[in-house]
Amino acid sequence: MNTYATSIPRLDEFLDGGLKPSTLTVLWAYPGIENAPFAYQTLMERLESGDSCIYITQSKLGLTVEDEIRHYGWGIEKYKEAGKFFFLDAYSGLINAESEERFSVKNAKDITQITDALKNALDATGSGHTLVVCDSLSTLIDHCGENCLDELIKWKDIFKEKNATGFFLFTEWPYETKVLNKARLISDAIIQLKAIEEKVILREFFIVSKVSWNGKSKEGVSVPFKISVPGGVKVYIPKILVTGAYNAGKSSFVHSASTKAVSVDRVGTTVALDHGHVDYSGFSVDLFGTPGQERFDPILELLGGESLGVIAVVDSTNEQSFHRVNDMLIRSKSIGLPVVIVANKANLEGALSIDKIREKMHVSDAVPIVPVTAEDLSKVKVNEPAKLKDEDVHAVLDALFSRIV
Amino acid sequence: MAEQLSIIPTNIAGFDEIAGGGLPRGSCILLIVPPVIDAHLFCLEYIYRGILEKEPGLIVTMNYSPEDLKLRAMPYGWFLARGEQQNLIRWVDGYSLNARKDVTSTDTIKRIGGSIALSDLTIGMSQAQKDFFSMNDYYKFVFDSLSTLFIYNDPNTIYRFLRTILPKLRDSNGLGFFLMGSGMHDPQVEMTLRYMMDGTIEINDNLDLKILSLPTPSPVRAAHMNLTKNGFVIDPK
Repeated sequence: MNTYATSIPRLDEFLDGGLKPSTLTVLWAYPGIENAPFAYQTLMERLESGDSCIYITQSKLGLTVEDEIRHYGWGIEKYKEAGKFFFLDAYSGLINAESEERFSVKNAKDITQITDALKNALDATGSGHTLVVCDSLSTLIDHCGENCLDELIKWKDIFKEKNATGFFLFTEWPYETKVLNKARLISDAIIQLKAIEEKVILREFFIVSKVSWNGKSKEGVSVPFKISVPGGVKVYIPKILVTGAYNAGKSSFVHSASTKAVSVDRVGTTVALDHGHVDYSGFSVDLFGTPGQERFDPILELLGGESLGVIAVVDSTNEQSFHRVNDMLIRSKSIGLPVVIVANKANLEGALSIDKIREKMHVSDAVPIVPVTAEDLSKVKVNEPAKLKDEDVHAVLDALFSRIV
Repeated sequence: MAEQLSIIPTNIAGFDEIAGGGLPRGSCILLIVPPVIDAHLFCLEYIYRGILEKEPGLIVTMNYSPEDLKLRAMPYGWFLARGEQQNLIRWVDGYSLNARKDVTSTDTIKRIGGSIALSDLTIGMSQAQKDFFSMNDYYKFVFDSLSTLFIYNDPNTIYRFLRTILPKLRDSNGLGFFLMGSGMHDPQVEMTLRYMMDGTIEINDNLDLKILSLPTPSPVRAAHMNLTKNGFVIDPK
């Protein structure tokens, strides 16, 4: 099946490849959560892939949208000049201002006028695929009434005829239940943006709750995210615990995986924690490394709190380090979290095989054990973190991310 | 009683005496003011007096730019830029971009599209609440004004918006004022807003202030406002 990628990390997997032609996908946000960056990132991906884009704006000027897109580090100027990007201005009419856009409607409270303008705009984009972003469905309902949802069913026929796909923003104000149900019904796919809120919004995550083209419900699979400026939408994992026995290589892993890292150490041994920030494959992650010596065990529970996953580092040449990991997982209260075992020093003499390590640690086949080695053994120094091979580190991160998200 | 409700003084001369000591955390007060009165000055003083006490302040402005308001505050000695330098002020600016001013968002100013961009307005307020959460137990806010929202939106749209943001303001321990122009709206709208808020204060053309309701008990229900070179002075009647 032909699909159009969004480039939002993990989202395309849940959508079975991306947005399906002639459908309507809704970014369904809890009030206070930004959904526009999801649309901006997707439209940039589609424009860079050669598609056209029409942006229907009903709550702000096109210039404001352009500024916001620029704010995230992208630019649509060249696509506007090339006739690949148009605004459909359904806003200026609402504030009694003259539109400066090529496509606009005089009475933006009349949904049929917006439909006609959309057809004209789609005619101007040529025969290639066009992404239609509507900002927003909730504003349409507010200004055109709930009957506009019936008109949107016709839009899907227009999308089919004109080779287009709809990507609509929606804020879940306290509408009547029948309005919300109808909005859900006409949507082919729904990406819900929700929040963990305690007095204020603490964390945000998205859930793909409807994908009509594969008949599967994805309810329950949540992906934490944050909006980076610049950069856009990134999967955000605020805390991953990196633990393991003394001298297993925890600091080496934290430093090798991180774009920036810091260790609180004494004579080369971590005495408080390692901290590193990972920016990889659309993920934004903070690593917290524990000390390995038993005298620091009292702080393990503190360091382990609120972790979303664990990287357990063992020394492949030292069987004692295997048993210590289980003890540290219990002490840090991390049992039951998604875990990946890093078998460090896998190329050294005396290193056990993955199967042997699994057997000795009594872990099931479901827990990934990833062999890891230093990039250059001749450069490994005593009391300093070693640089591990990038491909090994990435294999660990890929394995853990797929288990968390 | 004051301790039970955790009342925060406004420190505007005379106001706390008629308001039962100040405003409780998590209270949203409707301030009904004639359009000819510069009510935004009262709001700016309210935020500025909080800044002097290291209290964070959120200013939602739909009718003036933050830059303009900072200038308007200066003759009274209210240097709001100081609050920005101390990271204590957040603005949500719903005016400048609509007025096609060549400005962008900053760390302290969130620019939004205008009075119809209610989603962006809520996002801006939520971001400020999140910032303040790590600074202080409560914060002060002013929303200038609801009347501007009613010009461009259907009343039911505004009610839905308020049903969403009022609990957020209360839960996050915000305390402050929503401005509304008197005589500009259907009486039904005014009654609905009074019902949604925690209290209502009315000011007339002569700067006479009347307390219609407040969450804190006060023996005084009326006062006169004087705007001096140092700010407002409220004299109980």
